[in-house]
Amino acid sequence: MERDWMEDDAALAAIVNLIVVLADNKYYLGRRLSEWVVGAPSLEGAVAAAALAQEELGHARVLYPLLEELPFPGRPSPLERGNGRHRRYAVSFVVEPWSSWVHAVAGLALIDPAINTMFEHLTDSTYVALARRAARILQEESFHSEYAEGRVRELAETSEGRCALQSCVDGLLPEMLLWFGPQHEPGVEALRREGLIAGENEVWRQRYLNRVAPLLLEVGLRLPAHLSWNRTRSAWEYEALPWEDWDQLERRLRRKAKL
Amino acid sequence: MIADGSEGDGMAEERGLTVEAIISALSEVYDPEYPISIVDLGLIRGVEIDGGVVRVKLTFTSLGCPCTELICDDIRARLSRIGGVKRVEIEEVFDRWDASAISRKGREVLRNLGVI
Repeated sequence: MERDWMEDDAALAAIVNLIVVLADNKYYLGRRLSEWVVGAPSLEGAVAAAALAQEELGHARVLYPLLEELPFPGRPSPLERGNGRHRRYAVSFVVEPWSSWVHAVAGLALIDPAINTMFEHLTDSTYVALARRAARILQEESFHSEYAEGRVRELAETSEGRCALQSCVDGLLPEMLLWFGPQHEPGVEALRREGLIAGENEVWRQRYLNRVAPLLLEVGLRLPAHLSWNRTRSAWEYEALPWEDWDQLERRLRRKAKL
Repeated sequence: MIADGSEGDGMAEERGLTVEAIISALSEVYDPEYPISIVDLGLIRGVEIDGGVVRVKLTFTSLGCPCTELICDDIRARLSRIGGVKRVEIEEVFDRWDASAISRKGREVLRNLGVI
């Protein structure tokens, strides 16, 4: 019964937070990409940026209405159409305009896969309305992944491009590791209890790293945060993450990542 | 845009409200970007009639489609012209869409335009 979990206050609060986090990141990613429609280094890049921005904003469009149907007091309002809001539930990397095309590539290569990792764990959610949207969004995202990988490879072909991309990776990837939250996060436990999401914090983080790290290494980039693959454990290892600098509610660094 | 109906609304009323009549009317609602109906484009995923209430299940070619509201407005406008329709409810169902959903007639139109 889809409605039963709504009586679980902890699960309801957690799903509201998850939806607004996913929607805000989609919204800002779309906004930032749209600003590069006229600044991409090629006509093809500009057209692709327009298509990607349109889809990211479209994904936000179908996620925000879910907030309105959930019986949660003080739920955040959608950011669309210039609606202002004090709290922004998006990673620090996307809330301000990007200063270069390399930032756009880094955003696509490192933020989009994190969001997709979460959607992959929502396709069987007991919240059917969210599960249906997750499956449809993932269908559209395959093109984004292919495009991002191509641009990463393209940038890494020159030492200048590789250096600029490395700077973005150094600043952004540690924040994305934080984004999946500390292991055994209470809200996540509530979501799992109600069958609203599959996996858990560290499972998501490892899945994300499996997706993004091999490409970065393949094109000659270094992994920050002392990230390395432990063959014995078949898992990625990393240094202690700076949880004290991370806002758990808005799921972002309190200070903007230095890039 | 909405094409002019080839049959009068009175005819639909005479037959009573049927799913076939609704689909026929929806075949006159065109995609705002290509001259192909939303039925031939494969956007319609279900029609239910409950008294004077018509429920249409709809998906879009892309979640980022800029014409979603326009298409919904056109559906409401066309179906409201059918006698006996008191209310039109549209549900976006988020079904997967790809080119295989386009009808043979739709493919022909798009092929002639050089789109596919």
